[in-house]
Amino acid sequence: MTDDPVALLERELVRAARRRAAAGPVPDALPWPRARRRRIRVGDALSAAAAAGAVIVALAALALLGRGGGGHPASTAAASPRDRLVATLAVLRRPQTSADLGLPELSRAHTNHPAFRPMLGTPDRPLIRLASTAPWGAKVYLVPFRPLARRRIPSGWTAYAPLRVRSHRGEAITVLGGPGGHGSTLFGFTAADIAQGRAVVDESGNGHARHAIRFLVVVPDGVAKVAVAVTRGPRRTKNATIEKVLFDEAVPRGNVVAFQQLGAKPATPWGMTWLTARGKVIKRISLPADLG
Amino acid sequence: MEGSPDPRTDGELLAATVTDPEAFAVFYRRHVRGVLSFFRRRVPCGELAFDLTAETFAAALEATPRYLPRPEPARGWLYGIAWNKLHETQRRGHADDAARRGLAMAPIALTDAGIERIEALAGGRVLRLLEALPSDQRDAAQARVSDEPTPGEIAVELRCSDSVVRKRVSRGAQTIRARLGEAEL
Repeated sequence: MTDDPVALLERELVRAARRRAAAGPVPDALPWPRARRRRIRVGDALSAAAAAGAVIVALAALALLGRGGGGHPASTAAASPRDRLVATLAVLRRPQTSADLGLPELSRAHTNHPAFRPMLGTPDRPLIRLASTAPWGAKVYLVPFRPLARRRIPSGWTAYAPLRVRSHRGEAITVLGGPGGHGSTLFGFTAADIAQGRAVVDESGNGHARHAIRFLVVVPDGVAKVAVAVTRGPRRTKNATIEKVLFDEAVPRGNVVAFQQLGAKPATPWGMTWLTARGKVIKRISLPADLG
Repeated sequence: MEGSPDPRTDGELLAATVTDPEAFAVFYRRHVRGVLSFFRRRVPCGELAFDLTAETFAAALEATPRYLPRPEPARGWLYGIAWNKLHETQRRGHADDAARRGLAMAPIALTDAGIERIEALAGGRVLRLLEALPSDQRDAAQARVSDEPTPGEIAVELRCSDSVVRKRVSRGAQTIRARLGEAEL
């Protein structure tokens, strides 16, 4: 056995090349890499795994309906949606612990709720992570869901357009906050959503104080701080007069930023800026107008 | 690691890899030192240089079915991938392993002896001496001791000007150094 990493790398590359040669030529039309595509179909072992509980599912569905979906076709770029999620979020790359599977609804018997399961698909159990605990005490779980395989979609659902969108987007992360936390949209967040700052989950109005702003943002690796601009004054409208803009910073934990601001006056999150540890701006993003 | 008696060109080796896995081993042995050195000069530690080298060759292996022989040397294609990996690392803040995972390659744990081997192969000691030179002398000296393609060759692959390549590589390397902390380089 050699200690030479260069020789070890050569051995691994040759083994990989042999596996590819044994698999035969790659059709031109197949998005590369072929090896990653094989992983997507592995779902049978998880079919019996518990999905999110009916309460959270219902909340997630409401969130979806409230926002009107907004699905985007999955990119046909380099990797599978699952691999892109793993490459985007370090929290998915760390080893899973028993705490990651502590979401009560996931440990219950699978409800198989006929109204929502076709939309959610099946949870990718090895990738479930307890990402963070929000300042308001909710544990925040990232739960990637695989869309159902076409053959497993109930016949009554096959013509339902959002389901086709969901299926096309591939594996996506749903953010579940327990106990009593919201679920993100049933479409979930793909790696592209996360990279573009669209992975925002509104927790405001969830049984807590008026005027409180609470929301979760899933951020990609490399984001060390998130600065949120909050306007005080009238709710944001086309002609709103902004009294004051406040900036608050939050630090991601497990690729999740939990932002909370309590105030006596109405306030609206306006936008956020992603920063590196040294304060360099990575991205500026507008927040959804109905947040907060 | 010092080249190979195989008479085939790099392009022929890449084209043959689809059916002959050993051809990629020859290609790897021809270029591993150059790629390792390419990264070692631009990142602060040998471990990261090796990580990026492994990812570059894995990505190259994945891409071989789509490789089309062309007039330019195939090493320009390889270093185009290497440049992209460096740029991605600068953008993400960490080295990706997507290509290796895609190929189901086993991770390689680096021992102290392994790191020494990488440093020796990448010329880490020479690079540290080069770093002490003024920038114009350093560039000229590096060009002499390195067998990597010129920025012009990489530019052909990346479809941009060589000055853009120089600027981007330099900026990327600076960012990586800043992010990962100043090391011995």
